[in-house]
Amino acid sequence: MSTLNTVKSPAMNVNFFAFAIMPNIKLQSSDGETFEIDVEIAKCSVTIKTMLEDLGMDEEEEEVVPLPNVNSAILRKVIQWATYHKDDPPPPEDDDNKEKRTDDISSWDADFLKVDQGTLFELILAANYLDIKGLLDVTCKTVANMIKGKAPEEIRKTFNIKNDFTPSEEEQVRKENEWCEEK
Amino acid sequence: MGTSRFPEAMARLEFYVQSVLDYTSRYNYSTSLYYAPTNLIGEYEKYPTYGDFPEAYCLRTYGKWWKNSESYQPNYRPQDYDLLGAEDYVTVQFEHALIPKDICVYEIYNPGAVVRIWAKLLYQTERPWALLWEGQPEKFPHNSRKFHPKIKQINYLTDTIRLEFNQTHLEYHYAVEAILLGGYVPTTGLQTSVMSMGLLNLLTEPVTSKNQCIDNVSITIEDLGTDFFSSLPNEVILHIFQYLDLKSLSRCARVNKRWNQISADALLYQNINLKPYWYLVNCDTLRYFLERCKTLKKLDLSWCGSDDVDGFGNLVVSLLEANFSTLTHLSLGNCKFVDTEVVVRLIFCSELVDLRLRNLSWRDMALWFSSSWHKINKLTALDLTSSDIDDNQLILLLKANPHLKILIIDLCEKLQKLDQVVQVLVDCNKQISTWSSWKTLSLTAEGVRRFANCPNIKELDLGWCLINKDPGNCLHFIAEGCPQLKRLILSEWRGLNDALIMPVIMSCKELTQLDLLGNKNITSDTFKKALLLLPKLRLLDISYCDSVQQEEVNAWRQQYPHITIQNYII
Repeated sequence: MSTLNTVKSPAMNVNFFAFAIMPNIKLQSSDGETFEIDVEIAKCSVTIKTMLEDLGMDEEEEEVVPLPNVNSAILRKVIQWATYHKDDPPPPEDDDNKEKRTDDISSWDADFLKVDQGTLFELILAANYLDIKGLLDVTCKTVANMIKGKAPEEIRKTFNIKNDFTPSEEEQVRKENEWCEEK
Repeated sequence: MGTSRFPEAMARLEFYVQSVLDYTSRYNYSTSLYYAPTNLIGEYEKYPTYGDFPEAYCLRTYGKWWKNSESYQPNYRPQDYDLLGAEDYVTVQFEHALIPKDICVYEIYNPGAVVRIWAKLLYQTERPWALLWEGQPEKFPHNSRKFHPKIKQINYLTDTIRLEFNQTHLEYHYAVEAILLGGYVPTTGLQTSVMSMGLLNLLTEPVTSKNQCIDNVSITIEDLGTDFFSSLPNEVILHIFQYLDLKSLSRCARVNKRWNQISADALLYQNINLKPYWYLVNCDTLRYFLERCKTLKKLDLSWCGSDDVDGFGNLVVSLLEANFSTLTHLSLGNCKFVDTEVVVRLIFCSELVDLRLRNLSWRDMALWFSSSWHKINKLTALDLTSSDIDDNQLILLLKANPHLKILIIDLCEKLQKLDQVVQVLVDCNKQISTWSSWKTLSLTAEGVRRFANCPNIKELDLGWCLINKDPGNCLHFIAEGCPQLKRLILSEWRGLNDALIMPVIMSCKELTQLDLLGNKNITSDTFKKALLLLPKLRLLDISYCDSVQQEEVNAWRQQYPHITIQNYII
């Protein structure tokens, strides 16, 4: 068993003071590792929050929340992200105008997301499964930035995507999307 | 760049502007020659003298002051924005078409706003605009400038040039006096026909489609790594795509079948801003979006559609019709295609809350009103800058839209009974927070006094619009009734004096911008009090207020470094 408190000391300090009011919770990754963290941090995941509310989990009980879709490496990253962002204001409702720009990623998040593509996409899947809007947004923005300004073939190369158009289909979609190509 | 033998064999010519075809910003009444766009016509007279001369073309806005105001139109689609931040443009025509070699822009006041130069190519019906130059805006205070950038060499004839401006970094108004187009013309009939058929290009530059070759590279199947996208559910890919600009989305559609399908999802096309792509937008573009926009909420077509007149308006109508029940924001600034058909369809868009119709030659406005103006009744923002709206029409609109917060009627010269309009506003539009009637022609002190009954008002632009020059004690009432006032523009209120402005300075503590340009009877003591007593003040314009000494202003600037003090004197 490992706890993240040994990894990130600022969080430990906060936990220490909050301990009396804020109980910890145990999360178990798909590969069986258990993480003990502050309930409030865990609750940034709407999935966990709903689970706790539905189950009416008693604070006395030593329950373990199984997370079969997230492995320990990714769960460790998710907890690291959630701990850093625990005091963020709640994300705004999906506003049409706000949050759609991708040049507003904080430097901490940008550093945090300097990972290989596999990890990045696993983080997206975990954020989606755990329903952590802030993490989903920032990971998706990062991928969007990798797409922006690239030609179709460059996009395919970047993400190892196979072109499954026949030549005639490809010509057709090229024509359909010609409006934005400068001559 | 390939200098061909051909152009040199032709005649070298230079022209100054012959006519102004279109513009987005105007400082003065359409009847006034001062600062008018038409001042661009012909050779320069003042250059290289630097200064604020009414003989030049002057843009209305400068700096961040307009951009940061509450009435500024937000970008309907923040994913798509102009990297160079063009705010305005002017399109000019020259006497003869030339193969452009030189463009000179004679800037005589606060130079540096040009960010793009376009040429409209002759004989090119589809997408006629070619970019000749683009670059970051610059700043050269206190000196005039002959801006002569190295332009892209093209072998097409043009007689129409468009300049795009970004003046948001400038310290004060920007003015251009003349534009010169230099280049070559065919001297023989043969050269002319070679040109018109675009054959010269074949001789000088091999036709390569540089931008497209990348896509035609056949895929090298080196071992592909993992396609992590294949593990993502559609809704997550959709989440990624929502951050993309329209151009990137269109390229995603060409990646593979799955991307093609997801990138066409109507959810991605709820807010559309085509203004940054104005030079690309034609009928095909509208058909493209017509297929994708099923629940369109916000649409900005400003600057678009000036070249593809045939059928363009009809396609816009189709787009409006297909989305009439969801459309809440619509901006059609400088849209030449807005005609009867488009105007009549607007009334079906009954959910509209934000309607921006700047610089439209809207002859059909009366028709719009005679049909069913009252169906539009949810507006919170209405911008009719430079339109032909009359008093009765405006009053009907105000009565029908009780939630109106922002009303911009700058340069609406047909409004003859503004005092009455303000009374209607007081009675019907309790939430009004911005009123802007810059350079209108019928407001008196009596009308201004009525704003005291608009407790939510934050921005009052009353520049140049007090007709009888006698403000009476109307500002006393404003000071009492409008405690939230942040922006007050009182340029050229000739009758204003220390006693009459003082109540505002004593009471309106939220003021961040105060424009007193041209008020010669206000003394420096009062300006000093404004600087001292208005804690949030950031902009004080006292240009042409003759009572102030330059040394005094310099001392104030040192004492209040956080306040921009404009003080132009001849």
